[in-house]
Amino acid sequence: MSEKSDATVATESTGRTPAGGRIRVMLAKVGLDGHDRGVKVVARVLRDAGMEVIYTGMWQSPQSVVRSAIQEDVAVLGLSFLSGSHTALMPRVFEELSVAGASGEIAVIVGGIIPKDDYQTLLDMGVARVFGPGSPLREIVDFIRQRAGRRSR
Amino acid sequence: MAFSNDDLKLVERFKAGDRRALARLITLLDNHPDSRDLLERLAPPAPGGAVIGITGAPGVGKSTLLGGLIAGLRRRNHRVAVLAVDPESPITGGALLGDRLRMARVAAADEDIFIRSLSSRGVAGGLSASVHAISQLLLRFGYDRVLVETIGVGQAEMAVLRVAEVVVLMVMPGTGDEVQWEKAGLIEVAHLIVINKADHPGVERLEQELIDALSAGQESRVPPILRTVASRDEGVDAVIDNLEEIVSRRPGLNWLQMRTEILQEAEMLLGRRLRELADQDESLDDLARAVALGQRDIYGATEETLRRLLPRLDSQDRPAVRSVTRQ
Ligand code: B12
Ligand SMILES: Nc1nc2c(ncn2[C@@H]2O[C@H](COP(=O)(O)OP(=O)(O)O)[C@@H](O)[C@H]2O)c(=O)[nH]1
Ligand SMILES: [Mg+2]
Repeated sequence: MSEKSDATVATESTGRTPAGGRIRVMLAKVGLDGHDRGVKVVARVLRDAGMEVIYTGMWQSPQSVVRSAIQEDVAVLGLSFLSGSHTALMPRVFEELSVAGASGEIAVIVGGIIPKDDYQTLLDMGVARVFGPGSPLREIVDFIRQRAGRRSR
Repeated sequence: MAFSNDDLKLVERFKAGDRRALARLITLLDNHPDSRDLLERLAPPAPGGAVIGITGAPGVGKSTLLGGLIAGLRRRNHRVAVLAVDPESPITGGALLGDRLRMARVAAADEDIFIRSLSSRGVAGGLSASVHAISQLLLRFGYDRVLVETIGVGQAEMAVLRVAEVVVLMVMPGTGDEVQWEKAGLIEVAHLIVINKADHPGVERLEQELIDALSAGQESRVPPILRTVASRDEGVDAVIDNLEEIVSRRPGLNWLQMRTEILQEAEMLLGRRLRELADQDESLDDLARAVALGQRDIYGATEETLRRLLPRLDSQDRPAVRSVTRQ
């Protein structure tokens, strides 16, 4: 990897949940958005922080992302948007989570180019936190650790 | 292992066909290999199911071929599960599990496809125990083809292949890897060899080298060698035809071997129950002190302990969680 992240100092134990498992995170891109640099940077940072990271690739549907997140039993689902379609697609993601009976069991975070005006809209939908450009990578790692720590296994 | 009420609720949801419960139980089995006796609580899988291992060097095209196999097996009305094992980073313990990406076109196409990514966690033996238990769980959920993707190097990965009843070795032209497979003994355990990337030059040569290597072996058994271009779905149907053929003529389970395995399992469980009883047994502590002081000898004390505990082995005073019976 080329990016030397501030999380590479993380020790092995920090990628673990209190119950002894590894923290599992899924990163996904929904819709036709073709910008994947940012999400790949985040994927490497999380891996280097000792987590198990599953990346779905681009062009996913809300349904396929939610199905995948459930099968992979991740604590956190991270979506990356640089196309402006977050306000249209995020409600559908939450709808699928609810259909699957997984609302509240998987923490959902969003990153990418999100206008400040949209932050509150996303948070109101149920997004746990929004990480825009320039978000310190360390903060993303810490937030996920804290969220994953709330799960029993 | 003693299961919590939450775990037992998951078991109930699993029996009701809840995929989310299946996913949670996979995590449990993966994180706690000693939770394997969970399988006891589930009805045995329907006959006809099979665990198929797909192995080969990184980049040979395993995940891409799996995408095609999943689609083809679905068309033949199988319910398909995939366990994709990727190595973890030895330094941080983290892992980028990227196999799902290559299977994206089918990864979440319907509910009768279930894909789970696992990291190998560097533990020889531990990984195969996890993969074995998780495969059994998936079979019991009703997935009748469980495909396990793993790179074919390293002890942990080799051990995983023993979990599979059918092993597919994938190779590709132009890498000069054949010698390595031969050394690793992989070539001999494979039931089927797939030359992927047959759109690259050197296919004939590779095939001849494989045949030569196999014929030189002691048993000189040459498994089917097929060619595929996984990225264009070419040759995938023939792979499925061959796999199904191999699965259909696998020998039935050998009862003598099963007898041994039952006894091994019984020995393990008996030991565990004995220890549970011993934990609640104060006279054992007294006996142990007496032996330590030289007042009793260990053989007499053992005999006495057995005589006291054996009649209780089958009684109801075990912890409630253990008395749930297999259905
Ligand atoms: C590089 C780039 C491209 C590349 C993309 C290459 C690739 N494979 O990614 C190319 C040239 C292909 C491209 C194409 C287009 N682009 Co462009 N592109 C950019 C550019 C310049 C940089 C994006 C980038 O890679 N940043 C670097 C990464 C590391 O940062 P990042 O993605 O923001 O990610 C960080 C955070 O946001 C956060 N993060 C991101 N995702 C996630 C997810 C989670 C879970 C978390 C926690 C955090 C997180 O963490 C990351 C690291 O800090 C931006 C402008 C900009 N300043 O952002 C425009 C931009 C995104 N592109 C834009 C546009 C319009 C396009 C095109 C439509 C242009 C066109 N007319 O053809 C096409 C569309 C392509 C498509 N199919 O979607 C607009 C989008 C406007 C909008 N949102 O309304 C932008 C904002 C430019 C602009 N100012 O107009 N683009
Ligand atoms: N030319 C060619 N490329 C292929 C073929 N099959 C897979 N690939 C490519 O090989 C790369 C590695 O494939 P992948 O399935 O991830 O390999 P794995 O590491 O064995 O799982 C990807 O870029 C695929 O698109 C093939 O038959 N021909
Ligand atoms: Mg792969």
